[in-house]
Amino acid sequence: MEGNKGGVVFVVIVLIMVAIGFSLMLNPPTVKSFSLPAVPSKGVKHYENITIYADALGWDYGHGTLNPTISIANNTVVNFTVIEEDGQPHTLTVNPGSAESSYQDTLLSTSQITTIPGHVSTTQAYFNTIGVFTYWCTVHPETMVGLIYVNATVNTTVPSAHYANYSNKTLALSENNLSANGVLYPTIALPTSTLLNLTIKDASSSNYTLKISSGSKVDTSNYTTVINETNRSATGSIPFNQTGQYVYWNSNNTSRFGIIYIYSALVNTSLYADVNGWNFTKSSGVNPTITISAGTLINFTLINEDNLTHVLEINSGNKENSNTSAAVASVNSTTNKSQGYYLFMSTGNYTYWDLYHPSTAVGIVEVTNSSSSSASVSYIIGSESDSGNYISLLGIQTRDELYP
Amino acid sequence: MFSFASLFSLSSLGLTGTNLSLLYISIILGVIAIVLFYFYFRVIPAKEYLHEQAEAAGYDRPNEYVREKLADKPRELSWRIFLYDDSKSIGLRYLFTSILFLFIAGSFGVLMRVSLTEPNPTIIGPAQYNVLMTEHATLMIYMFALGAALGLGLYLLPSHLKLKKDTMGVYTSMAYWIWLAGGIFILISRAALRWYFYPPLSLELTQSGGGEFAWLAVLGLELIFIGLMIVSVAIIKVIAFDRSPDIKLNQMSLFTWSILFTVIMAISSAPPLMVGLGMMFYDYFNPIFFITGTNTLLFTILFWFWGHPIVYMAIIPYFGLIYEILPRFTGNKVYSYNSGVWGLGLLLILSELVWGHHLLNSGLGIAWITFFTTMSFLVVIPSAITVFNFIGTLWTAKSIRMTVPMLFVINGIIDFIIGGITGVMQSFAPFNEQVHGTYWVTGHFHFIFIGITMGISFAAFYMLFPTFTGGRKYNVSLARWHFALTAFGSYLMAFSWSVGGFLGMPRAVAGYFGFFQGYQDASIIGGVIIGIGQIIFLYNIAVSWLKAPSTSPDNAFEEDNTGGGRAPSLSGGK
Repeated sequence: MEGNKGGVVFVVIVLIMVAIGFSLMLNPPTVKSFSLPAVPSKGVKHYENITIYADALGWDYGHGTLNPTISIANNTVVNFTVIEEDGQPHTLTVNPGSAESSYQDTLLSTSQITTIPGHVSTTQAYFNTIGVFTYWCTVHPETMVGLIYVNATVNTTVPSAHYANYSNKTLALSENNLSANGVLYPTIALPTSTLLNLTIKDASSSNYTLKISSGSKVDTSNYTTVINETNRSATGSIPFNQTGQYVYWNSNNTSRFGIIYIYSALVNTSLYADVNGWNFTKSSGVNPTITISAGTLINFTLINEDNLTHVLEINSGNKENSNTSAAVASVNSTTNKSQGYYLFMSTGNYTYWDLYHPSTAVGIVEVTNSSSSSASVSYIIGSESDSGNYISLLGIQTRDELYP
Repeated sequence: MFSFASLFSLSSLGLTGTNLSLLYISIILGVIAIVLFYFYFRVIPAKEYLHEQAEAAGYDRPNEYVREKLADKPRELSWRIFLYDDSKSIGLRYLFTSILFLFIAGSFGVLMRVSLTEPNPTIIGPAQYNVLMTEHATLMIYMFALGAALGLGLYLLPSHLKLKKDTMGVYTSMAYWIWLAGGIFILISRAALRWYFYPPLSLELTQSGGGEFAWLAVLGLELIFIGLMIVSVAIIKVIAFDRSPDIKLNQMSLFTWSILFTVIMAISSAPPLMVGLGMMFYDYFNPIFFITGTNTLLFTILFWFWGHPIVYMAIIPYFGLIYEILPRFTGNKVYSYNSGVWGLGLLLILSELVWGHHLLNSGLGIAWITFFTTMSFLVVIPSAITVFNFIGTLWTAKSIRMTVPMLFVINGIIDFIIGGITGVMQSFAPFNEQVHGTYWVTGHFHFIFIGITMGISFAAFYMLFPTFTGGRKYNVSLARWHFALTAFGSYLMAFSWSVGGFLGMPRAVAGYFGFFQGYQDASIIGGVIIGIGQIIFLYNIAVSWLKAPSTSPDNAFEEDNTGGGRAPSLSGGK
């Protein structure tokens, strides 16, 4: 009988399968490589220093916010400083996207972040792609994971044509506080579509970072860094395109902050505080209804009429609610006049009332839909015949004039 | 697209893009496979193909037809060979598939060795090393050790039991395909789970976790288990009910006993892990069992309750084969048939009670450690009974023919003694404290797996080679070289590991401390020598099969081919 090629066929199959197995194993799906761009030698506009503590229970465990969200401008070089906390192996790994992925770049490996507690390791990373990145530890991916937002909003140079308004502010830095003309953390009110150029004069030698977050209080997990200063003076630009409330603070002192209001319309109004009701003796009638459009910032001037203590509280809804209300301004026997802002963001009714005389001094602010542009603002307070008497309208400001 | 994602909340699984489409493909392929199985069993009459052929040729018994009419004829090359459902065809399918996986997984092993030429990972990275290690271990144990044992069992049992009718072929054939699908799933998953599949590693579908497709490996292992359960039940049914009335229990061949104990062990110890894998797969969608569970040892216990019996399942059938091979080349009967059966049976019972010695360092508590350590020492008794039975058979022989299978058997016995002693040593809790997680353990089980599992598989393959090929002889000098290189290489490799591990060389990592360079270098040389030996084996098969038949194709494991009226196997009782 002739020879049989069965053995040859089997050997060929074995060799093919071994080759397939090799090619499969040597290209496991887990070694697709991603790498951040190399740090350019020049032309970098932003530098950010970020120090994080490596702990198996989470980044920065026991050092403030757990797994802090890092928000940086596009084209930023981040100087990471990683401090070993718990004697366990850790990596600093970054990948694009909002979750861990094997398509990653390990900036610091377990051999670089040694297991000696207190060991400091540093690295640089250059982010030139707008979007969200994840930073994590490949050894502890369940606990040590946080986000990096690379924002387009804070940019190096913004064409002037894009912004209707400009505002130049100068703040002084002293004792880790920010002030202007002796006023600590002054409130800044700006119309929408404004590019705010902030200049910081630093009297001390402390290094600081000026940060801005949206909302009504300091948010250390989601912020934009405007200025990251290691010298005596620095300038940063930030565009404000959306109506809303923002806060700015000095990174060395997160307990104090200033407020930035971005409004679509600004109304100045005076309220006369009386135990019998707002504007009790005035021709507008008692507790006048104030009608404005959404996005309007009202600059209240509170004037004391009866030398009692009055606190102007405002909350949304048709009746007073001390749980949600915010104190805007207050007067008493010694302070007869004070001033405060309230930004009416959403349509609907708000209630303005006196914390000490809620049964008598309570009125409604009607916020209508701002269907047209911010230039058209309707306001009716009291009777029209008395307009201009105690309610002054400064109109829509295209340039910031409230703050020197 | 119809959204499975919303149905199962796959986004929480981290499955997006490629992974998600892969899952869709898996589901679609699964449905197609179910439809194909339906056609296979209901529409295509292939399951009766051989019976029809035999009847057409005037034979009542297909085996007789095969033996007399097809023995010296090449089988027609047809896709139908993949659908044959007679036990011998399925056994061949299992056996050759397992040898295929032996070479795939073995090449991974050699690659791992070569990558360790320098202390720091240079040739392949840690991620690739972890994948190679997982695939090497998982494929070797489930696809090679288990597959070859089942294959030889299905191939030899019908004649050892003088089966009149093979009624379970349909199920074992299906089990083969499920088992193969599971192996392919594990292969393409490129998981980095080790063979333990411990959570939370296996639940982290990341590079540093189990790998992006670790869930595919979990599915694959579950498929292997389903296949194993089907074939185990089928084999028990064949042995218990279908064997010829001529074969009394105390006349069954020792190989039949070993296969019976193996499948009993599979059925009695696999279900906890099957449930555990199901829980783990559920955890990918809704992690309620192993990540958020309070008992961190839960999965390890579910695993090792199966994990220890599976390593005995890679040994016991090969002990049975040794009992079959020894009489062939010594010319006398097995020294003690009864102690052979009892030895294997005690191995079955005790191996179910020692799984905790894999967790001696995991905090089971002193009472459990004492229990598992004691049980592990007791395993020495049946192991020694078996080994002394081998030695007694050799001792009482008038002459021993040192053929290639016999060389493998003797080498396997020596390797088992060495690996067994190092194994008993590490079941001693204080000693375990030192060598746990070192190459000592790797050396221990490679002595046994290469010496017994792989060596005896080759011995059986060489003995059956004329039967597989229709009467062709393998080249004896090449086979001796194959044996010598395998035996020497494995001894060098495992011995270097044992010494290095005793000094603290950590296992299962892509690098090592420079201090261990010498032990690693020696084991690299050993691993490469083993690899060269297997290339010679492949060459031998290909070349020898090309030659014209020159010997009888009779099955060397069947006694009744040569002498009449005796038990149908070499080791059967009186």
